[in-house]
Amino acid sequence: MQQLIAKLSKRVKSGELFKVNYKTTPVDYEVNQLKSVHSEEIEGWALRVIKDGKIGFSSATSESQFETMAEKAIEVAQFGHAALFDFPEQIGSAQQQEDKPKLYDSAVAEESIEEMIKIGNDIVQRVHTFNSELRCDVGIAKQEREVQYGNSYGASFNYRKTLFSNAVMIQDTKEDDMMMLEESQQWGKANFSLESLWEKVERKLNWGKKIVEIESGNMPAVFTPKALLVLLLPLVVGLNGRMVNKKISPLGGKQGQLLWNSFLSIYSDGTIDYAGGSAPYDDEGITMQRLPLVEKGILKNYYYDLQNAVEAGVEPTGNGIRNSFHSAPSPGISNLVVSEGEASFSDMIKDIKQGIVVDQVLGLGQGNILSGAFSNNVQLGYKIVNGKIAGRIKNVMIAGNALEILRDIIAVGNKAEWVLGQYCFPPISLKSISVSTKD
Amino acid sequence: MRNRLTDALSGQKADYVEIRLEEYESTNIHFQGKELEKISSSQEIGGNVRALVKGRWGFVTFNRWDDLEKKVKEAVEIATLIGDQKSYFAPVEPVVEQLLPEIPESGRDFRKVSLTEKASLMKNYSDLIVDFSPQIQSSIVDYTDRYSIVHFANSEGTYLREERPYLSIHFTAIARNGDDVQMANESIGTIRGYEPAEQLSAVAQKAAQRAVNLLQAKSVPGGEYTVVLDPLLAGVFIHEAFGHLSEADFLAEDPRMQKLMQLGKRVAQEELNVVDDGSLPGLLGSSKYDDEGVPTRKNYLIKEGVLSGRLHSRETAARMGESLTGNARALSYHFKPIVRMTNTYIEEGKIPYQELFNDIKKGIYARQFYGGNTTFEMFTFSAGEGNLIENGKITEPLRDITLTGNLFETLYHIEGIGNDLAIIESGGGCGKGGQQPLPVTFGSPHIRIRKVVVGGRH
Repeated sequence: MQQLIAKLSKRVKSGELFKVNYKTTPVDYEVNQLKSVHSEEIEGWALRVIKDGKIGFSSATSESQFETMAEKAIEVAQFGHAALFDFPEQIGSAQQQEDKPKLYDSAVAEESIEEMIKIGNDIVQRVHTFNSELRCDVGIAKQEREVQYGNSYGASFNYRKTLFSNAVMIQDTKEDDMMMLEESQQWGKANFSLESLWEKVERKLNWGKKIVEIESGNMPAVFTPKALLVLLLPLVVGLNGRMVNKKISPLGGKQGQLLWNSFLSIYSDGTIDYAGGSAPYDDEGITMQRLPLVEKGILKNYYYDLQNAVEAGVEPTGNGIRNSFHSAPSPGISNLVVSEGEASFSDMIKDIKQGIVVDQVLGLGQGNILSGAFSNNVQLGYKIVNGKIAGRIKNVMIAGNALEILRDIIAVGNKAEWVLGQYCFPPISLKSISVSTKD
Repeated sequence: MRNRLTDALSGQKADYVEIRLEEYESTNIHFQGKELEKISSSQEIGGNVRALVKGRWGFVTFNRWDDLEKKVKEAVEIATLIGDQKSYFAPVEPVVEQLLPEIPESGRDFRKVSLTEKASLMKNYSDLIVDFSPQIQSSIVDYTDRYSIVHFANSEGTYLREERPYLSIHFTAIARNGDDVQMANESIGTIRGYEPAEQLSAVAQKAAQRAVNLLQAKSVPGGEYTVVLDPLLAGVFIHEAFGHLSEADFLAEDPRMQKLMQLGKRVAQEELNVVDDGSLPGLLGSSKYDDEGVPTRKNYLIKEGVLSGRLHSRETAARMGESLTGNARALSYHFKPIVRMTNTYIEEGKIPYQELFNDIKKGIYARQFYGGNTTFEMFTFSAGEGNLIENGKITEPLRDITLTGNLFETLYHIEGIGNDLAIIESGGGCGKGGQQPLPVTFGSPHIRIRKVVVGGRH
């Protein structure tokens, strides 16, 4: 990589080359049966240059396209945004521990298709032992990734990472009702137990057996870890350093202010061993960290990549993330972690006379997220009556403003769960939410 | 190239094998406010092999074209490992054809337009939005073009080489008043070259106007309403809520779903006709063949209120014993072709659309959209703006309108279909199984639906 980037030294002020290789193997089941196995090998290259003080970017899928990539990056740099930063001369620090965080498990890389099929069969069998009428779609996947980075100042890094995931979608179809439940688990280390996944599936299938009526109104609500992103997405968008610099975030200029109540603490944390969003460095070579975004309701930090940190006059936070190798880094979250509270799930519902549990929503992020407004169909939810789960609710919408409603957290669960491998959330209960249903 | 693919496919022990190779070049220009925030150019080369052995699929994707024989072998090996039943795959006549884009003769190929010209056009649009009003805080103008060349060959002798241009432009206007931040989006997508990109000044200004208007709008009170949808929102509704249920991959192996979607079942009043048609010329969802080499055609999904057809791939058509429709589509070489919509629309009715508002005591006129989503019978979609309807009159502006419901109940509740069909090419697209955004169009006249649940505060 260094040799390639060195070729550009006469043509640009500085440059950075980023390369990623993925090897992914998903095993997919449809309608209770093994359907297909996919073997995917992807290579991606991204070149970012600074020429005449401006940024140029180009990407490709093989080393043989390097010269074209260089020409294109230099060509687009004429129109590029002014570079407020330069690429780092050194990556990491002397204090930084080698191999921290842990990201690679050779057992994932070596997992055979036959073993993955065993796991899939196990899930289908468990579902059908519970109820043979259920439709079950399953995905088991393993991924191995290698990231390499080098820039024209001689700084470089590389790391390898593995991920293994199990996902299940269960559907119960009747003439006048369809129930759909999705659960998944993802981790960097192989051989994790199916029990925690299955325990959730079984509990929720039992809760959902009976359909109960509910009336429109304002009522307490418990969001499960899986549903919590509905409320946190506006916050994630609003704390993005780019949005703040552009003055379009309603959370801009409010650092240090108590905006929510003391139950709420949120971190962007890329240092957790084997988590989906962890890495030693972000995608432009800044050490990832555990960055407090909100602590006890106080807005602590916005998150930045290099360019936006300089614009804001602060240190970069290790949040320069590429959505894919086709895009340049921009502010993004590594892993989003919400601190646990003290309440058990049964504590959280025991004092609720009438309320709802929200577990899955339709239309995540489809409204005006910036403003905090949300309005979602509760695709899977339950009614709480006198401190107990009474049954499943249907045709229900929840709505409100997430940035306001998070002031009214009344309890945070004592057991956080990983959702989609990248979000670590406990359940949260809110004093009141607006629920609409048929008249 | 044809020989190279044919050689790689020969002599394999599989029920069916195909190779897809794709190369593209793409330009992206992204303005935020008046500043050019990002500009990039990318090239991608890739491909995949899909093999069917005894009812199961092996699928291999890669970036190097140098060892196709090995990739074919690998896909066949994986499929052989898991194959354990009868293969279902509907027969189709092999075709050999070169397909060139339908850019009008006077039209311009965006590959020949300079970066300077593209960037300065986008700058003009950004200026139009930002300068529209002091209440406009920022804007996003995002331009993407992509020119793909796809080679497709299968073990039955089909060889297609297709060039596909795609261009999209998204406008977001962001208006702000204190802590109140409102956004409005407009977008276009096209496969007809560069020209459509040059005619968007009014569209950019409309985004700005709508964002400013939203600052004055009230949040909608939650409840059940009679709603009138504009053609875009009605088109999104029929796509999201109904169209996806017509995709036979959800049904082919699921007897309970098939029962729910039994052909011949009455699902709506007689005036309702719903069509998916990939053979319409020059639209975003159009192509002569789908991604399995099956010719596209006009398919009635609902005819005179009765379920009358569904969308198929070669596998689902064979499994269900129905005829091919040409709806297997793949977003790119990273993905298998799966059953997708193309250009989906509600046919025109007879009612002048202004009359749809008559005698609505209290209702909502919902227009434009932020997004939509569906899981089987439940749907939800968000309008970009709207108004209250009181005693047949369109009154105060509303925002944060999200409509939801059960598809089958809602289809029955469609009680008026206007005479103003519009097919809309937006820059978004359709998402399914991680394949997003696939170019499709949404179409409908204005329609009126009673008893729709709208989320909102109490």
